[in-house]
Amino acid sequence: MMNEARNGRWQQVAVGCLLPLACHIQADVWTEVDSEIAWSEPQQAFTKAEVILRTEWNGRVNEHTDFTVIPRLRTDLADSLSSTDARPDSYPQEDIQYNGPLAEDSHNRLELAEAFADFIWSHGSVRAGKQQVVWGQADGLKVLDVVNPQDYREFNLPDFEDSRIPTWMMNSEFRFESGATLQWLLIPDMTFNELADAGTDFAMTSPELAPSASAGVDIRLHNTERPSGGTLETGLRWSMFAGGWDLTANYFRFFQDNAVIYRSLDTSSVTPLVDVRPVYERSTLWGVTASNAFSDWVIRLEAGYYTDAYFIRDDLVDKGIRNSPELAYVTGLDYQGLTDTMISYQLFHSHITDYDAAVVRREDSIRHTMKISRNFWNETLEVEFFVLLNRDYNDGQARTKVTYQVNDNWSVWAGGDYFYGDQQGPFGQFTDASRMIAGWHTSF
Amino acid sequence: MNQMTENRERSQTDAWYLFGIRHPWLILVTGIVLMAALAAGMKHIYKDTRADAFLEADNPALMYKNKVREIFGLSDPLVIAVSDSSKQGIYRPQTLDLIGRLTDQVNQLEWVNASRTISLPDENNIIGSEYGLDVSPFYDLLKSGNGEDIRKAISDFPLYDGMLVSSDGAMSVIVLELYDDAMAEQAYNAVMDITAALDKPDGVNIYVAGEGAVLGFLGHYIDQDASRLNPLAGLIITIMLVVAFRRFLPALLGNMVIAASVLMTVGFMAWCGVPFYVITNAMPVILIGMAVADTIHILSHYYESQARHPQWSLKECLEEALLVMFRPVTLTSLTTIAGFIGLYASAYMPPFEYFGLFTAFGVAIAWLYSVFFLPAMICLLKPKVSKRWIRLEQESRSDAFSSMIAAAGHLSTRNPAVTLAVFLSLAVAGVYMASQLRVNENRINTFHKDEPIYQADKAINAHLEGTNTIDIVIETPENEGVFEPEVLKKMEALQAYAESLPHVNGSVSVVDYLKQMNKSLNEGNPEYYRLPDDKNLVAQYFLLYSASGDPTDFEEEIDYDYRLANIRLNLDTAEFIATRPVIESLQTYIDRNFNSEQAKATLSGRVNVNYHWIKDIGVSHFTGVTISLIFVCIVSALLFRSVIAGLMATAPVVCSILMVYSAMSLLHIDLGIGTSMFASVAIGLGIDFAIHTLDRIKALVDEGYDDMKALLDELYRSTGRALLFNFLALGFGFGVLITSRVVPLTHFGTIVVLSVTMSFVAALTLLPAMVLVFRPGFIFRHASVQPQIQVPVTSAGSTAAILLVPAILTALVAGALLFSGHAHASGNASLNGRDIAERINAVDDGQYVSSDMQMILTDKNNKERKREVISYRKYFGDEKKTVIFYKTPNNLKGTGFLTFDYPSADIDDDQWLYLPAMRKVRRISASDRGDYFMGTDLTYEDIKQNGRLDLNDYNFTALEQEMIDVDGSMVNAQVVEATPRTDEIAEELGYGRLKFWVNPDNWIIVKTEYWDPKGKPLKTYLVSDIRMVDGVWTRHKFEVDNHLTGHRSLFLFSNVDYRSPVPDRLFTKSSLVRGL
Repeated sequence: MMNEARNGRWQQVAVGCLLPLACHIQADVWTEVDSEIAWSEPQQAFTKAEVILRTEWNGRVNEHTDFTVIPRLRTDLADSLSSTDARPDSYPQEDIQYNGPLAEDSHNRLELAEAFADFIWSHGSVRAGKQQVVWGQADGLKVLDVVNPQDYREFNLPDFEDSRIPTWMMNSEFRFESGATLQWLLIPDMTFNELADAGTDFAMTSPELAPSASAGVDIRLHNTERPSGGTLETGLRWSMFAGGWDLTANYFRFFQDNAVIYRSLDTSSVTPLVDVRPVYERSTLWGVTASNAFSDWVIRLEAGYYTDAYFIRDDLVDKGIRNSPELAYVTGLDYQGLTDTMISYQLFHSHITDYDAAVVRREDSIRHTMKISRNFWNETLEVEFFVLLNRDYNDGQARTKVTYQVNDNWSVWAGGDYFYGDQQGPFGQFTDASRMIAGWHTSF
Repeated sequence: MNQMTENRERSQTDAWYLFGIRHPWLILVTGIVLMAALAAGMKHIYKDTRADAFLEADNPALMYKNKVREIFGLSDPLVIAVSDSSKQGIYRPQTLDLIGRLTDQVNQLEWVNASRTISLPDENNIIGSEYGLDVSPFYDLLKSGNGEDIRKAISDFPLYDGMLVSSDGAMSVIVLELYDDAMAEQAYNAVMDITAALDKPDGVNIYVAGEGAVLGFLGHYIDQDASRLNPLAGLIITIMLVVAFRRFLPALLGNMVIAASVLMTVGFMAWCGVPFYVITNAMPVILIGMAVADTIHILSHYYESQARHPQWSLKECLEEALLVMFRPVTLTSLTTIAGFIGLYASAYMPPFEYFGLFTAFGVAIAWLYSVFFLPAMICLLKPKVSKRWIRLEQESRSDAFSSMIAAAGHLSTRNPAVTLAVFLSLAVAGVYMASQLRVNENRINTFHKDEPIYQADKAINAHLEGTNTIDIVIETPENEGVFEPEVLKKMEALQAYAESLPHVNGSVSVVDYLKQMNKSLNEGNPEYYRLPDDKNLVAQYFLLYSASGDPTDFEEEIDYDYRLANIRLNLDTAEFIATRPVIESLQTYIDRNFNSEQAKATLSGRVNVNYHWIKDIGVSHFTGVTISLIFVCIVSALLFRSVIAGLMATAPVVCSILMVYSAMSLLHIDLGIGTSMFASVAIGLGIDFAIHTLDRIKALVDEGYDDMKALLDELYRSTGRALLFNFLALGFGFGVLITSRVVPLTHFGTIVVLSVTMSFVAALTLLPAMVLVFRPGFIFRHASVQPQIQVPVTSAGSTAAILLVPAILTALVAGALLFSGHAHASGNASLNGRDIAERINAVDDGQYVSSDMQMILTDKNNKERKREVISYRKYFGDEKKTVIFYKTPNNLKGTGFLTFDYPSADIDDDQWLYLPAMRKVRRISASDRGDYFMGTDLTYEDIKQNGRLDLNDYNFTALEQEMIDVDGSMVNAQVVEATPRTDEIAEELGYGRLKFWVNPDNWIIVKTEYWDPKGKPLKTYLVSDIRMVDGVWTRHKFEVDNHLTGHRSLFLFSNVDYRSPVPDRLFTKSSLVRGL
């Protein structure tokens, strides 16, 4: 299996290298380095001392064909974000679908962040390769933004661009005379969310997200059940602009990015055992988005209906999982009436349509977010403040960041990420991970 | 009092003007013979509805246009358009067949110069072949491609794409040149007959328009209108007379005077060889109104005498009427004549000159027949007053009409100072509004909007390059001079410049054919759609063409010796306000670029000729009004032997004219051919009311009325009643014009009715009030008893009152001068602020463009940041879409900004921003116009306007011109100050005031100073390196210094390209995500 994995990685390297080599015309290479340190006051320790080296290679083969290759090296000297035995089961192990890191050890991780080719013609385009596709209108709240899996080893703190895990796919778009477009996604890459390992700062402990073990009862953890080979995810998105509204209708037949943790009691042995069997389950998403600007206001709407969603029960009925459709939406309102300032509010609401009292999560989950950002000095200084309130547990997070653009190539920033509230909650669980950050960025 | 009148009668019974009563038969026969003799000339009258008729035959612009016609055979074309709403458009085989048949049929018309017809079946495609050039009709492709091959051939022939067939393929034109403009009406009718008889496939419409069609249809259209209006006016006047006198005979007599005036005048015009112009159509209606006024006054007094003095014979009553009315009727006629002579004296266009002259003649005839012929007829026919009138008179009661007038009159004389103040206020407001009037004219607007020719004009101009033409003749000193590559390049640049001007949608010259030939001889490669570099090569191309095509194909573009060439520009409008900047810009360009010996250029064509006669309408109008008023004032002063009398008589007319100006401004009626005539008519008609009123007041004072109230009672009861009917007759008479199908006449009728109403009201309210306040000597000096007037007039009020009339007149003249100055300025280099802003906005920025832009941002510590973007902009109809992609620095690389800019000011733009870090396109609000764009010192609004100004945001004031350094040469720049219209706009934009300098050579703003809403200096914008790229003036460098922050932004443009098509797909959110 390790050989196969290694082969897969080499295939990634080959694609990453061959793309630019095959198209040695008009290439444009640039590199950025990001570095950030984090100091956790509760832990009285540096929890992060990271450097990311990212090189982007853009090239043009001809008028209709471009390519992009982005290798990325990540080094964390603090070494508290991942354990030495990274969970392998979020990455596929078969065939060409290999996706995971090209090489890694406890401090370093080399990966092919993105590698794709664009084929463009007058009425459409195809982007084939390892890439990110973002659906939806919401910021930081996920309803439709589920095409790519996410790296949750730092929970939601990194930029989504950095934490979203690109996958191999064919992304086709067809443009119609009316200006409407149809996007068709074909994803053979069964890569899923990467979660922080148990014992690390951002390991999931909230009972909503991870079933808690009962004292005195042993568990037997089975291998994660991944989709069988040859399985595809398929997505369609119809986009149009009418009467000032940006509208989309979305369809996505996919595997949920978090494994469903089935639990069943094995009473055949002397000591009762709980069989824990993680399985990636399939679901279908139907969604719509809309946005429009009215004077100084921008309204954003995003709604999705999952035919199958899986919620942890507080008992072991139905293998400890309630399977129910879920309806979720985000309403966003941005105000840009103040000079160089944006104020953005979002309401997230998720409803379990076939609820059962034994489900740990509440039937209706509600979150509010507010973000205020302002630029100063001809956009050389940016101050951001973000606050999230999760009404289910009255927990949440507050984040602030001040970024200064030193010159075209250098910027520095400082800020803080603060979690608060009930430690049972999905945000309150990270109260101890609250931290101060400082970092710099350069590119050349 | 009656005794006094009788004394006067007896002393004047031998007055010469009673000749008509003494010798009625002689007068009757003489009058009829004279009328017959002059009216006989009517059969020789001929119409001249040409636009050219508005210029003297020796006008240089007109002469040159005729020369162009001789050389190139170009006239005002008659344009037939065939539209097809089917998917295939006019390329549908049935429609192509229809166009073929239609072309054949119209070419067979005897008036059509078939060799010059431009149509799809008549035009040739030029393609390269192994033998050189293959020139063959487009219709040859019909056999093979079922229409689609023709579509492709047209789209490969840039000259015809848009000119011959609309770019969307929905419309095609057949352009007909006539041998003789005088036959335009016959040709137009024949074309209409042919189009009506054609069997059209579903979805196909045929339109006929163009100046040739206007010329052809206008004569018939006006005839038709006149034949409906004149009888209607006569009928209304008759009804008025019957109602006024309750007898039919007065109506008959009145019509006889009318007939004499109208028929003799028109007949006399014909005998003099003067044609019936478009505006002459208004003359009969005016004369009807004038003539009936005299009749009403004489008959009115005649009946009044019968009622008052039943014991008198009818002849004595008639003598009394004439004795009393001769003076005012004569006075009014003389002043009216003076008004029209004023128009004649000030006009510079033949139709206006003759209009003034012959209307004055018609008024004289009306006076002659009212004073002599009418009394003779009364003497013979002996009409009697109605019993009701006698009863009312004997009971000393007034009828309803008199009571109505008296009530209104007393209201104004109860407090005369207030009345004066009200009129003075109206006059001041009128002077201001006069300055807001706009000179404009468009011949197509003569037609009612539901006329097919009007709709055809709109439809064709909406789809194709346009039906209005400017010709530019290029003259070289020697034969084959046009072949010189430098000359051809100059022509190409001139065409490019012309096409960059607003409303110029296309141009044709030999340059286009040469480029097409060059392309065809290079395997159709679009890159070779350019001029050959070598003179010999040019000559060879023509030779090659002649080997395959007809060498006379270029007759309209180049002369036989290749010494002269013509560039024809097609415009989609003939509105003067739209074409004036085009003509003036072209003239400026030509003056700068075609002054060499190598080539000279001269403007010609229909639009240019129209420009020359329309541009001075405003000046001419106000000069005419001023001269007419002065004439009328002098004549009135002489007649009353008092300067004050002259001024007072003129005051109601001045008020009425100013009120009309206000109404025109408020109703957005432009000062054009039809409307500019109103003032002279208003003066001529309005002065009558004033003269009658003043003369009657004077007569009553002379008769011994010592109580002012009794005097006014008598004035309103007698003269007031007569004036009311006079006014109603005029009001209804001119009101008929409002129903005209000739739109300028509708406007003319509307404003004349308004002015007559105001003159009437002012005569009966303002004048008595002035008499009460001023106590003018010319009225009271012979009075045996000073009237007992109890009006609270202070000495200061009296002084002010004496100054009132001169003040109003001065105000009018000032208004006239103000507008004249404005109009003059409009016609020349110094424009008002808004004009300049409009021109800045009219500078062409190409249908699409791509360019690289570098932004260098420097803060007060001289720390620099650089950004490089590539931008694309394209018009989709009136909608402008812009997309910007950041190339550097790396932290912004991939950022995309997309804007949809809508033409309506009510609709906010739509904007999207793509930030690579978010990986998604974000909708952003476009209303933060004052926010700075991406860290630069330009706001989003500045970026959006791209060197232009939103006219809805600012008020503009032109300042003194200033010399300014632009790219190393000194330019006499137009300087304009712009202030936001409201405080809210100022806050929104972040600007309290702007002052900008504009280069009048290209109408590009070269410098702008900005102040913030608090009045502090904010920033300075400075442009340099302005170059023409692909025919479009383009800024290549500009710098913005922010004085408040010390921050500077330098913008450098390169690789500006207006030619390479910009794909639509770039203006989508998908392209933001995918990048370039």
